Amino acid sequence: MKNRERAAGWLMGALSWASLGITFIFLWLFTQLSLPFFYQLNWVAFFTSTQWTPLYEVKAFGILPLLTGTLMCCLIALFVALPVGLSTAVFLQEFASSWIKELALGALHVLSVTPSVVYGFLALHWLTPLLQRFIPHLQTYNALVPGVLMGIMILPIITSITREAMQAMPSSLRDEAEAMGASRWQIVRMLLLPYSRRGIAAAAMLALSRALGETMIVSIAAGQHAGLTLNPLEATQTASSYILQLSLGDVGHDSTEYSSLFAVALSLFVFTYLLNLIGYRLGRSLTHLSYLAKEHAPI
Amino acid sequence: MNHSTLVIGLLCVWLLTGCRDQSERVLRIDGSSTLFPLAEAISESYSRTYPDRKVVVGLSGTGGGFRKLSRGEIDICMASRPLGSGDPQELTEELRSGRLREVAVARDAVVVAVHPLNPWVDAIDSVSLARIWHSDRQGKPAYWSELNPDAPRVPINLYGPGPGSGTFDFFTRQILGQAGHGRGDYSANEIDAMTVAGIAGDRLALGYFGYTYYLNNRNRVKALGIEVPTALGGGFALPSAENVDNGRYQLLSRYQYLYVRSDDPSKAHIDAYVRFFLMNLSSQRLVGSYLPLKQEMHRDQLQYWSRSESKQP
Repeated sequence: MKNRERAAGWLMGALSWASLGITFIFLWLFTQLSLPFFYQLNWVAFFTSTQWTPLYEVKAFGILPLLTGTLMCCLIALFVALPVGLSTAVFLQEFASSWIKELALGALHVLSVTPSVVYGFLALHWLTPLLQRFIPHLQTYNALVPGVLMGIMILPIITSITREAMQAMPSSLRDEAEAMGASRWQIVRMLLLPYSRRGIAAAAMLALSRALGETMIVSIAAGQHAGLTLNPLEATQTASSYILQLSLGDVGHDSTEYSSLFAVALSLFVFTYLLNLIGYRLGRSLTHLSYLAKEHAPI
Repeated sequence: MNHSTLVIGLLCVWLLTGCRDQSERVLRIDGSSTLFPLAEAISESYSRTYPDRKVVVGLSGTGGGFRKLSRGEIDICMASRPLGSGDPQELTEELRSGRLREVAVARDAVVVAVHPLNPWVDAIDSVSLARIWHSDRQGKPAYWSELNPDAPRVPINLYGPGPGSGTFDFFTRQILGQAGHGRGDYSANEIDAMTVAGIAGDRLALGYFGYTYYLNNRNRVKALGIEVPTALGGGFALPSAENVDNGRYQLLSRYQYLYVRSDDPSKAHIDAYVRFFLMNLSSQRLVGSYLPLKQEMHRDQLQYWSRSESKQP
């Protein structure tokens, strides 16, 4: 029996190391395949140039337009998903009656299993034409609409993780608060939200990472125009949609253009990692700041 | 007899028929996306007319099609431009020696279009087009005031096919003198329908795409007249079958080709397919969906391919 347990322990250990190993293999592969690109490159230009045109006559290799395009779409998504997702979670946890709860959870489930290509076409053929009536300068391809649709896509992630964190709050806390005459809103504001801070931060980071890698929605509805712009009404290009565009064309496999694909992938990888790191730190400091955490450390 | 023997037996039969298909019955076509809809429609009726013959039509761009043809993976390559110096060398030699034959099957025009409510331009000359699309301008937008002094100084938002496309090669060669030249900071999309959608939804847009997509979207975009060479009377010509016919739309019109390798008599079915293709070009179902050849050219092509029929055993 003991041997068996030890074997199971080994197996599980090995499997968890495997995921770490795969991450490093990816990192190594990306680096390896993007080396030809970085050999020929002016490093300063890679980070400072405001143009990204590796496939054209005048080749410019500035990663900035792709990263700002990616970040802009994702921040819009988060801006939509965070307030809506958070209030949905609070509502479901504190206020909703059981049949509304079931209905809402079902709807969220539908949102989470909808393929992203559907969101992409909803953005291009429905929401953009609709918004163009109210926003005259909105182009067919823009960052705003795919950002909003991406927000709807990541909504279930935020709601479900936040709700889980809220469910973990001991009921004794609530009983005490109620005994002292706290209203429902006071419980939400002074107990539930501070208690689940870390869960909310984790949900936001996970959802952001999901949005950073999203390809279909932005490829269809955000355009393929790698210009440095912070105007969400204009066309833009994200890192992921550049990778898709390049791999669909007939670029030779031993060319600088082809290795630029892996350079972009590597940049996206590092970028996502850094954001996650910041998010993790942020989440931790939030927990430390929380006055409740001293007595009731969550999770 | 048990089940597994039956299954294995059936598998063998299937494999054998598969082998036979591979060697003589299947015709493989690949290449330009511009010709694809036409080739697919004709191949469908071909398979219906000759149920024992199969045609597979692929779509990997003109350049990709030429590469596959040179490797012998396909029998016919659809091309939206003639074979050039950038394509596999052996194909050029085969073409010279007559093993490979070039068949013009249709024409196409590249349409330059703006938003339907754009009040500033109705026509454009090649110098202005070159100025707008030149690589010198990369990173610096062109302004509508350059095309019309009455227009405000607002940027022109550019749309067009991406660098993998034959339309991109053709347009840049005609306007800027060399295929692949020009600025890279525009909204590029390999799918012409997406370019049309971009122009239709942006009042400051100017872009270009294949004529077929204009036929289906006449009310969503406004096509610009293109400069007519002075030898043909000068002025401007809108894209239309008539203007392509009489040469006034010369600057942005081109032929669409099939490149056919039929070097030995055992491949008579390839010649038969080309003949079928040419004969069905004028069928009722296809009229209006593409720009046809001039009648005399079509007749000559058809005569040529019918003559080679009688020569073969």
